[in-house]
Amino acid sequence: MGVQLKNLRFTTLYTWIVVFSLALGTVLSLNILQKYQTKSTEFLLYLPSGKNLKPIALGYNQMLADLLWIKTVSYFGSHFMTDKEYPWLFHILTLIIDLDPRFDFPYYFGGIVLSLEGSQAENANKILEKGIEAYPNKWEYPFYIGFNLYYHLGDPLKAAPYIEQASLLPGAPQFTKTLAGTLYEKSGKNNAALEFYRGVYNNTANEIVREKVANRIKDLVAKREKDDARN
Amino acid sequence: MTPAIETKHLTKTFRSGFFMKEKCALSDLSLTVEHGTVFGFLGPNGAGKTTTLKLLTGLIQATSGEAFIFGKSIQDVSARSKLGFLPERPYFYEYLTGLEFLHFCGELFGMGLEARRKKIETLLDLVQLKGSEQIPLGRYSKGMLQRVGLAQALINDPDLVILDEPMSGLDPIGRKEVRDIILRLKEEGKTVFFSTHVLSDAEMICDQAGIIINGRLRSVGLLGTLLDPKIRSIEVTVKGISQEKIQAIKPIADSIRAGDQSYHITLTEEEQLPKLIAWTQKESGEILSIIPRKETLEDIFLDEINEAKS
Amino acid sequence: MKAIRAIAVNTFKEAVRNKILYSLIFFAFSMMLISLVLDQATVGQRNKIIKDMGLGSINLFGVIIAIVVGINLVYKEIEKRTIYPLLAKPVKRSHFLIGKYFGILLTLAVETLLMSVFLFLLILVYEGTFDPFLLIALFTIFIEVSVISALAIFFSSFSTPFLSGMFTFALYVIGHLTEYLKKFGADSGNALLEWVTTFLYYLLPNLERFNMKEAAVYHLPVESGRILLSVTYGLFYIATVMLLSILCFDRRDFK
Repeated sequence: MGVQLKNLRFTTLYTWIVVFSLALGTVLSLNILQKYQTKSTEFLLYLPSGKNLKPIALGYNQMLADLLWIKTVSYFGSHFMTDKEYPWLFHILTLIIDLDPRFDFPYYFGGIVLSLEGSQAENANKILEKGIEAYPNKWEYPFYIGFNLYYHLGDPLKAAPYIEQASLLPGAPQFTKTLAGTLYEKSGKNNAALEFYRGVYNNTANEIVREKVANRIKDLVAKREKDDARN
Repeated sequence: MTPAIETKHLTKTFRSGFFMKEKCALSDLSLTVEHGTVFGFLGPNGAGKTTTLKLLTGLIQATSGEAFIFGKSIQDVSARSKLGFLPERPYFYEYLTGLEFLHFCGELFGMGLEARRKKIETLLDLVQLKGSEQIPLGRYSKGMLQRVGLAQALINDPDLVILDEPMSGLDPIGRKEVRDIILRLKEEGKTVFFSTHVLSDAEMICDQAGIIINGRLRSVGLLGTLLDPKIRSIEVTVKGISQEKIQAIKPIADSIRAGDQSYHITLTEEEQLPKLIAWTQKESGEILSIIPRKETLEDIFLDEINEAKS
Repeated sequence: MKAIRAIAVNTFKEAVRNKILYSLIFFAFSMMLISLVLDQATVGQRNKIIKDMGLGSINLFGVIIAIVVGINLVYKEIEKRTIYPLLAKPVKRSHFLIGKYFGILLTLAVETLLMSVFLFLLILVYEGTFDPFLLIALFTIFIEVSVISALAIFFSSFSTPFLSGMFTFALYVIGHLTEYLKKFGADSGNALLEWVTTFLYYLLPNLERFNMKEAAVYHLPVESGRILLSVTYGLFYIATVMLLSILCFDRRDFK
């Protein structure tokens, strides 16, 4: 009886050693394997364009877009912590948008992150243009395009119409109403600025805005008269 | 009275293989089974028994010819309302219990719950499955499956019961139970049409029998008249005769086989037996056994097959 | 009619007593639970991922169950010879097939209902709301899987489960691409090709018509006419396929 018990204990111990060694082997091999792990960029390389991906999605477009979105967030995160280079970000965001055009966050994300972090303002604007197509009533998308054009690309002339477009959409904050005018002025288009300010003045109930705009109109009119007199 | 089964020139050919070669499984079967009889449909494996039964139950469609059950063409689904069928080596839904299965079968006949309950009660008694009805069919033994198969065939109180090899694969007790059930059905005035390749099964219960070989019906009639009652051959085993001396028997013997210090001599004519006995005593040999062999179904099968070949 | 009901109930019993069904449903549940974690891990429209993944898994596993159960329905009965005592009873073959079809529909309905309740509970616990828009998508998912199971029965009425499975799956894939197919033909400028693709467009099931997942998740307006016509289209397609199945099945010999 005693011997049997001893044997049993020995067997149990032996089994546990085997289990432990196997577990150790698993952990070690996985650890070594990590060195060989392929970079996520390579996964993105194999993705076809969104137009080609849509038929393959078999109607699971939204689900696939979600999975790609999660991939995007981790792609961005890992590069943000390391090299701050995002060569595939535009591609994957386009994929998501083509698969699921109603998914709104990729537009915000692409429009801001691509230009601010990725220095790809043109690509950011391409994404935002698609955003306008999907959500024509969101003021943010034309506003971001205008911002990118003015701030990143230094083109206030092109930026102004977008800001103007944004200022007319529901929910647009008051400052956009004067910003478009400022941009027109900056690019030397005083007449366009004046017209814009007058439009705002007539269509806005907000007293502070009206006052500001009235001041701008006064200045511009005075300036124009001065110019006219000079000529 | 209309016969239970009537077939006219029933023929079935199957096409199979790449070239769609035609194979005749049943040719020109014309058969009448009167109501109230137990009819044994005999034949070796592959003779066309199952094909005939499947034709009658509507599982396959005849190439030509026609068949009637109680005067109704088998093309008509309602011809099967007074029919019960037990297929060969039955296999039922293993996820159902015996009770559920029988209720399911009853529902297929449009029976109400109360009618089903009553009928199933008596059937479980008849096939002796009381106590096993709550067990899934997947756990039934072969004999139990055969019995539940019989029960499902009888659920609609059929006037005609068609059984395909009802006793195959059963132990002697199981065979006896099935035989008893068939005899009870006969007592109740039902027609039983069953196929078998084992003569002894048929001999005990059949009123009538038909023999089918290679898709052709060879003979129909009372079983007694189908088999020749006369002795077909006698096998005599002798001992203590030398090899040289045995040659003297050759003229009267059909065949001589050497055994362990003995010889098996087959005589085809009964009159030769006394001569052989006298001769053996004269040569101071010893007779170990004399076995007369009557004609069996196997002999008929063999005869018929040989005939068909030549 | 009683026979159809009995066969349908029996088919349902068979499916329900099969362990495969439970593992598939379990898998779908796990996928929905995983979506909770994914929703936490990402930024953007709240609950979008839960709804997407929920509707997606209900759809996907519905399709898998429709194919797996559908291709075996008829074949198994023949293979295991359980159909012999059945058809020897006064049961029409068409009734047998229709009963089988209703059986699989019952199975799919219960399965879809179960998973839908799970999804709604998940959203209720997570977000505290009930989103009735999802019901439209769930309903059309059920129509889609009904079409797929009819196709599975059709193929299995004359073919082996392996081949039927391949055929049905292929039709499921192509069924989502018929719009592209038609467009491809129209863009090609070749009259013959255009004729062929148009023919295929009407022959193959247009399963994309039953995909209302996007509308449901984003609360896009869906005209009641569109839903009604989708259902009508589905019913016509199912009826046609089932009729063809019955024609194939009626001539079959059970050797």
